[in-house]
Order: sequence, then C-alpha cells, then structure tokens
Amino acid sequence: MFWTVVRVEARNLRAERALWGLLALLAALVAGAAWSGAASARARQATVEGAVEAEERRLAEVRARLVAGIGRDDPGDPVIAGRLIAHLAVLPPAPLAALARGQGDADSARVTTDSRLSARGAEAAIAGPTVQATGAFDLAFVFVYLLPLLIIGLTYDLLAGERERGTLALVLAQPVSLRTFVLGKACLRAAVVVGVTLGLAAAALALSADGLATPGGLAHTALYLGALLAYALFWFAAAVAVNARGRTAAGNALALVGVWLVLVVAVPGLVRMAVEVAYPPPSRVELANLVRDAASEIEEELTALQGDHGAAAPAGLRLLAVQEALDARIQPVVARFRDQLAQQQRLVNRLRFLSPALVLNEAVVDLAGTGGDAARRFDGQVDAFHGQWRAFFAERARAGQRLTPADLDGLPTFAFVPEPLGDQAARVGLGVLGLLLPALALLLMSAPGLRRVGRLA
Amino acid sequence: MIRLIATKELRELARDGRFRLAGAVVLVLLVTTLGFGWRLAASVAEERSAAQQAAEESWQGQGDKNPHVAAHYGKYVFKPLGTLAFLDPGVDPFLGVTLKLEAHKQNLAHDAPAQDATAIHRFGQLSAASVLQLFVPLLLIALGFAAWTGERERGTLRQLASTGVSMRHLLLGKALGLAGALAGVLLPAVAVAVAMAAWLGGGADPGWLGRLALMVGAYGLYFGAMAGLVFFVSARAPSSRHALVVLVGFWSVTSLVVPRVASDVAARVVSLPAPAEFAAAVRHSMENGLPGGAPREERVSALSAALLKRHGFEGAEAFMDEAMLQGIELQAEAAFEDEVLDHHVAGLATALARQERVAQWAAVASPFLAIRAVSSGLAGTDHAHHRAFQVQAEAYRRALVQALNDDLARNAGDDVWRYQAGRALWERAPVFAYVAPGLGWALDHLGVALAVLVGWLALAWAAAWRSLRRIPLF
Repeated sequence: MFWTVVRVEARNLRAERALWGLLALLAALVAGAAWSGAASARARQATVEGAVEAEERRLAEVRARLVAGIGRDDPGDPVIAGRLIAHLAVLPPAPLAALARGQGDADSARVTTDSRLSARGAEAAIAGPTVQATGAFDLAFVFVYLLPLLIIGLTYDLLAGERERGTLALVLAQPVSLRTFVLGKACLRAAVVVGVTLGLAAAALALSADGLATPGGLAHTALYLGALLAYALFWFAAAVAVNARGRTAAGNALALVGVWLVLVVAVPGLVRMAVEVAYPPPSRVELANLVRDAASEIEEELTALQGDHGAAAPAGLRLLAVQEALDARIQPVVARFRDQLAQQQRLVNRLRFLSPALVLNEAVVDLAGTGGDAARRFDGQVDAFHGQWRAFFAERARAGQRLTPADLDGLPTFAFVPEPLGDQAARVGLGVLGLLLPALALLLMSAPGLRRVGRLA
Repeated sequence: MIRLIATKELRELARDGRFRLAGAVVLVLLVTTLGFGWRLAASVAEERSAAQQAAEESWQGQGDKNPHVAAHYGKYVFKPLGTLAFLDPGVDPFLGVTLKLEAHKQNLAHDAPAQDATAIHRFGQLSAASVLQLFVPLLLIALGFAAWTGERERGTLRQLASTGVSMRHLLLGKALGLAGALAGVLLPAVAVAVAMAAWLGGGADPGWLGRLALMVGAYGLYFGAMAGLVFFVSARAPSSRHALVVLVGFWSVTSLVVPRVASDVAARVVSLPAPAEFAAAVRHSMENGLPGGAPREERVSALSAALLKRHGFEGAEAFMDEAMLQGIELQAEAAFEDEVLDHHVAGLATALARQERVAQWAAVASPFLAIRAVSSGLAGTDHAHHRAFQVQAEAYRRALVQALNDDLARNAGDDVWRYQAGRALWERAPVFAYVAPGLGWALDHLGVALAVLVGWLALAWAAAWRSLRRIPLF
C-alpha cells in the first residue's frame, strides 16, 4: 500500500509546478553560492600568495646584503638579522574551504613571526564592515537558512491540502491508513528534495572546491553530505509532526515558519549570549596595551644600547634577555586569551544540540576550516614555531657566531598540522546524531495524531 | 466607525492564543537582547575609557626625550561606544577600536572584536535591532495575512459589505487594530530601552534622546510599510494560504537573500586592496612621491621653501639656527607624508564608502536593508560614524605632531637632536577628545536609506488602498 501511495504521489508531484519552480530556485541559489564561495576562497589564496612572495623578496635582499657585506644594519649579527627577517606562517585552506566564508574575512590567514615578540595574531584583513556583518552568500547560508524554508514550502499542506481540497475523504475510503498515506507522501517528497539537494551540493563542491580528490577531501565531503542529509530529514520530520496536529494549511505554515525562526535565528542568538556571559570574550584592548608597553620598553632599551658603539655582541645579548623577559610577561595574557575562546567553543559544542541549524552550521564551518577552530589550532602551532624561530637566532648570538648565507638556507620553516580526521569526524558524527534523534522523536510524537483521522474537510 | 472596527480587531487578537504566544516570544527576545546589549555596552565603555586613561598616563610618563622622538613614540586612542550602540551594534563589531597615532604614519584602526570570534558569533548575531527588523515583520504577517482572505473564507466579508461599511474604513480599522496589538508588544520594550539609554548615556551624551525618538519613528515607518504590504497581498490573494506563502516568500527573499547577494555584489564591484598591497603602495609613494606627482626630494624642498616663505625667512637660511632649519625641514617632511597618507587612506575610505553605498542602494529591493541602514546610522554604529572618528583622530594626530615639531623648532637652539623635553611638554600637548557627530550629520548620511524607506511605505499603502476596489466578496 505504501508503494501505491508513493506511485500516486509521484504522479501528482510531476504535475505540481510549485515543486519544479522551487527546485529550480534551489539550483540557482546553489550555483550562485558555489560560485561566490569559490571566488572568495580564491581571492584569499591570492592574498596569501602575494604576501609570501613579498617576504621571499625580503629574504633575498638580506641574503644579498649578507653576501656583499654592506648596509646600515649588519645582517651578519644574528640579533639584527632576527629583526630583519620574518617568516610568514600560512594557514592552508581546508579542502572544503569554498563551503563557508565564516571567519575567513576577518583575518588574512597568516602571521608574521620575527624574533622580537610573541607571535602576533593574524593580520586583520581590509574588508567592508557591512559585507562582513551581513555574512556571505555561500553554500552554508543556502543550506542552513534557505533549505528548511523550501522544505516547509513543499510540506506544510501535506495532509491539510488534501483535507481542504476534499480529497482526503476519497483517499481514506480506500484500504489505506492515514499513517501510511502521510508517510508515503512525505517520503517521496523527502526523497526528491534530498536527492536533488545532495546532488547539487556534491556538484557545487566538485566545481568550486580544490583538493576534493584527496583522501581527506573525500572524507570531509562524505561527512558534509551526511550532515546535510540529516538536517533535511529533521525538517521533513518537523513537517510531518505539524501536519499530524490536524490544523489548516495556513496554520501549519505559520507554525513551521515560527519553528524555523526560533531554531535558525533565535536559539543560535541566545546560545551566543549564553556563551559570552559564561566566558566573556577576552579584551583585545588590554592585550594591545600590554604589547604596546612591552614594545616601547624594547625600543627604549634599543635606543639606550645604540650608544654602546663597538660593543655590539654583549649589547645584542642584553637585548635578547630583555626580549625573553617581556615575552614571558605577555605569554600568560595571550594564553588566557586563547583559553577563553577555547572554552567558548567547548560550550558551543555542547549547546549546539539545542538547534539543528546550529549543529549544521558548526559542522559546515568545521569542515570548511573557517570557523575559528582551525585558526586557534594554527595560532598554537605558530606560537610553538616562534620559539623555534627565535632560538635559531638566539643560539647563534649566544655562541658569538656570525650569520652566513648558508645559515639562511637552514632557517626553520612552518607547516600547519591539521586536526586528525578522526577527531573531526567524531565531532561532526555526534552532530549528525544530534539531528537524527530529534527527527526520530518528532516522527514518534506525530504517531498518535496520525492514528486519528480527525476532520475530513 | 473606524474606532469600532479597530476595537473589534484588537479584542479578537488579544483573545487569540497564537498571538499571545508569538507576542510573548518577541517581547522576551527583545528584553533579553536589550539586557545583553546593555551589559556588553557598559563593560566595553568602561574598558575603553580605562584604556584611554592608561594610554594618556603612559604618554605623560614617557620620560625626557626629544620632542620628535616622542612623536614617534606615539599615542593610542580608543573609539568610545555611542550611547545607543546597545540597541543596534550595527557594523561596530567588525571595525577596529584602537588607533595608534604617531609621526609619519596614518594607521588604520585595529582590534575589531569580530577578529576573536568563534563561528557562533557570526551565526548567532541577535540584537534588539535584529529582533525588530526580522521578527516583527513576521509577526505582522502572521497577524494580518488573513485580514481580507479570512473574512471571505469565513463568509463574514459578505455580511460586512451588506452593512454598507466602507472598505476604506475597514482597512483603517484593521490597520489600527494591528498597530494597537503591536504597540502592546513593543511599548514595554521601548520603556526598557529608554531607561537603559538614560543609565548609559546620562548627562554625558545629550544627543541620545533625539536619536532614539527618530529611531522609534523609523521603525514605525518600517512596520507601516510591512503592514501595508500584508493588507495588499491579503486583498489580492485567492486564499489565506496563498497570501501567507507569498508574504513569507517576500520576507525571506528581502530579509535573507537580497542583503547577502547585495553585499557580495558590492564587494565585487568595489574591490579593496589586501593589507600587504595597501602597505606596499603607501611605502612606494613615501619613497618615490605620489603617482603623477613630483618625486619625494623635490616635493619636500618645495614645501620647505613654502614654509620658509610663510614665516618670512626666505633667503635668510644662512642666519637661522640649526634647530629652526631642522624643525622646518621636519614640518615639510610631515606635510609631504600627510599628502601621501591622505591620498592613500582617503582612497581606501572612499572605496569603503562606495561599497557601503552600493549595499545601501540595494534597499530599493528590500525594506529590511533600508531600516538596517537607518537604525545603525541613528545608533551611531555604521561605517560613517567610524569614519568620523578616524577623521577626528587624524586631525588630532597632526595637531600633536605639529605641536611637538614646533617645540623643537622654537626651543632646541643649536642642540637639535640632543635637545630633550620633559613632562611639562607632554602635559601641555593637546588632548584627544572625540566629539560624536550630531543628529543632523547622521541624517545627512542616511538620506538615501530614509527616502527609500518612505518610498516603501508610500508604495505599500498606495497598493493596499487601490486593492480595496477589487476585493472579491465570494
């Protein structure tokens, strides 16, 4: 009987222009979002490459001066060289970076480390504030915000429509239960919408994301499509549950839009407030003040040292000592800063289950590597690298060695180590579970409502 | 008659459990977001004024040094938060708050709060303003979509028509009823907002009351426009569910899709340089002169000659003491650097402003964008206000550098670089005090958005009025 319902519904759907119109709209939105997301990922990459090139030019310049042995500042002195050369640590884009712009527009994905101070935070990008505040038109937006509205548009009158047209009485005169009828209709619609959505999502990724063909890329894609599937199923289950209450089509639509508004807009906003109240965001202003004081102390120390002509090496060593002392002072503040953000993220990971939209959004920015998790991991690694970088110059300064061009070839280089796939998969997988269980609960809740036939017209 | 209709509508709404639930949700969200915004604003204001004080102290306690070295040492200024920022954070979280003022440089503001955000900060952007801009129109849709279609479906429209009541009176009565219901939800929130603003602004910022009053008016225009659209669609739709689908569709396209597409388009039409590119362009001009202008050396000596002439020392260089010449040379260099910085920073600011304007013009396709621009403009949290802060800070930077260079020229004598000034000079130097732009200035910048908002209102009500002529009774 179930398959008969599906077959009849398939015939109905084929004739329904609204379905085709909505699916075409979805295709257009996905295409636009994929194009836009890919363009901003490319622009970001180009910025990073330009900066790396500029730094390489600077290194070549220092090397040339080292060979020629001329110039105002002596690059042979490791302490001075440590101030002249910097290393750009770059956070490489994740395979699915084109999926969501996320935080990607706030900083420009790279950090300059030189031997002076603690690694500075990523350089702020120059971006229009309204563009940032509005958020990107990317795949994450289309799926998190718009897909549920589209599903609501296709399902709000699943049962109420039949009732209002008077066809429900005719259908139920056949040997079919209300539950089979509703589930048959819902399943077919879900199959069509989910099939098209996943197809579009996969196609959009294939066209817009680089590095998809790597094993990591495939695993990320599978996780992403799984989360998307579970999200769509949740909204179908919600539609079935609302339809089972036996209200009018307009009443159903109103209830579903209300649920959408609460789950997609209100709850994430409330979760953010809760997170900020529980773990207040660290103060950048305080950090700026501290770094400013430290930097000016170093400058003063330097000015004082410039008087000691001819005693460069001991002066250099004194400078190193000053730097290390200041670094020790700044480090705890930076650590507190990062710790606070990590605490916030931990709380979000727990509270995300309050809203399916939050679950999907967290999963998507997680996989796109633009949510801030990857950035904080990167910051931690850069800090460790900075120690290594500074030690390179400090050791030579302490040993009283001069820097040679050969030394420049041995400069430490930074390579980002991404989070193990297993950890990420566990987090996203838990999220998928957090979507499927509420969906199941909604279906179970609607069972009693579907046992009663209720009004027929 | 109109009052009678309005009373009936209002009573009906008040008895409707769904309206009571939705109204309560909106009110709770409003009060929560207000409370959160107020708490944040209070702590941010305190933090920034403490930082400003610390910066002032470290400026005055910098010890004895050459005035020009002090100009290099520089001074930090922090952007104060406007009184109404708690209502509508606007684009403020995405703009820098600290600005280092120093010789030879025009820095960009740093440390935007959004830089340290986790994904939830982007996804969960909820403020009193966004509740008003997003939730209230949906509430209006939920309350009004069946205004005409419902009467027809229940068969009461025929009865009403038979009593001879004018359709215009009916429309006005229904609109008044809706307005009354909405006021019941929103007025408590307005009272809370006024109390909070008075606590935050106090006597320090006298302009907030006018801005808040205008903001209430602007939201009135926005809700009026949305209500007009709701009545229009309800009059023309074949059934209640059609009306609802059309209205929710309109809401989601204009409040969700159009803003993002518009800002993406704006970012693509008006592209901004990468930070490294911008820095490189400034460096290049500093070394070689402005594109199309004279090279550095030539321009500096021209400026220096002009300064000598202005002071009446033309041709008397041989008789002037070293410090005087050095001071004038420094001033000429600073003037050249100002020219270069002005060129580049103004270029960037113009590009940003153009980007904002493109996004603002998109309000023609979305009343949501119009009210968003007006609301953040009145709250003092839009890009124009940020720019005003930057302009004042830059004027102050020049005054400060000039005062220090003047001191060098006047008092250094033959010592020039060995000359040291002390605390007295640091205390005498001008102090930065940001003056928030007035209401007239804010309105000047909101012309387009306000006109578009009024346009939407006029259009919606003209349509609602005209649709009365052809409401089918069956």
